[in-house]
Amino acid sequence: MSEVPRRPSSVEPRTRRAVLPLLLVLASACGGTGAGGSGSAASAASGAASPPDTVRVTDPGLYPEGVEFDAARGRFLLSSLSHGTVTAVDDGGATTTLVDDTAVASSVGLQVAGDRLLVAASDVRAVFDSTVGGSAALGIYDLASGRRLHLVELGSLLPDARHFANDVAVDADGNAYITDSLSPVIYRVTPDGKASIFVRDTLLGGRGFGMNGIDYDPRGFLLVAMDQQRALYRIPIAAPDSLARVQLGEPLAADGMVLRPGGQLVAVAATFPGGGPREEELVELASDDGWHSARIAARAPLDASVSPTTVALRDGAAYVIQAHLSGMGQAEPVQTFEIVRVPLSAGSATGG
Amino acid sequence: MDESAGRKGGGAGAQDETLRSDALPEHVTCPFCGGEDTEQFAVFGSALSVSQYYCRPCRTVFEYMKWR
Repeated sequence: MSEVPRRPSSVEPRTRRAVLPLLLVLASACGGTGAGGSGSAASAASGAASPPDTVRVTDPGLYPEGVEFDAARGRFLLSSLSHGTVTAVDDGGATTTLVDDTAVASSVGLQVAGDRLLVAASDVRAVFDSTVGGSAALGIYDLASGRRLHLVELGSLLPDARHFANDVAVDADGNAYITDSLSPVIYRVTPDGKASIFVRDTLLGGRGFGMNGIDYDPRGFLLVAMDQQRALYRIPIAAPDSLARVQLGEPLAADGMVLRPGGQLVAVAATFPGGGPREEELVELASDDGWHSARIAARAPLDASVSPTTVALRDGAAYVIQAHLSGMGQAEPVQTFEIVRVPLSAGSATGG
Repeated sequence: MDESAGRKGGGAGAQDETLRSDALPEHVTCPFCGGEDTEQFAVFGSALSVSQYYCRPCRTVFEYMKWR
């Protein structure tokens, strides 16, 4: 080969990195961002009021793709791609299994809604094994006890399709909206557990991994991240067929995201600065026109090697879960996962 | 809901062997050297939508978007 070809579009080079250092990074399973875990744990143990910089969660093979903060109880909640559970974590890293639903293979996105916890339930094997059709369901649990209230089957609403329920949002009336990353549909589940297809549109799918994070704006619309399109969509609750792409200043493939009370959208996202290689960042998006367009108002780099997947807000601070996804299926499961506070750049809107 | 769907040890959670994806090509082009002497390294990378490959000549791990 006389000339190195240009990077194929299918390849997402990040940084040139020898395998050994990467393995060491994974084996250390600490991510290295923020303050040391021991200091945070000590701070929590001493009863200090300040929130932790990092919460280290030792739970081998957990692979938590989702995180939420249960403000009423001062605890984080983690999903598990491999166990299907929901784990409660205090600031010292002590864990309690809140939900252990034997019908759920993989828990993915989480949403606290009043005294309920909503869980996007699926089977992660569908994301890499074409012989697995996958599943999509919404688990509704009592937030205090973890007791199952409903487990709502969604995949059967669109038979003969592949499914991966990814994330969930709740509107002002308590209806839940669930994205399916392998089919171009968003499901709606009423508070009493009745399911339907909220919207089905080819714009919301494509070949492979489509929709990702979802959130609800109280002005009456959903914001939905599209992975391969590197785009964000605005979907009115009252007229979902009039969905439209949010005009962004740069391509953005958001994963988990959360709206601040002030209206800014905080998201873990792949970005492509200058059209270059993919980078992982925490971004804060702001819109002046009701999310017909938006701009990145603040940003902070994230460590891609530890798989930052989503973000939760705690007293306005952004906490990112490091899911260590590349460890899945390896001979030695990742032992420790981190919830890391990530400051956005000075001057960012703080609406929360 | 299919009560038998997945569950612990049924697939992704199993740690007794290294997972490989049948939905991904066995080899992809290394973005650094352009070579094809690559292999799947991990079914997931920084996100669920990417996988990792290893380039033997470069001794480099790189990420690959699934389904592109």
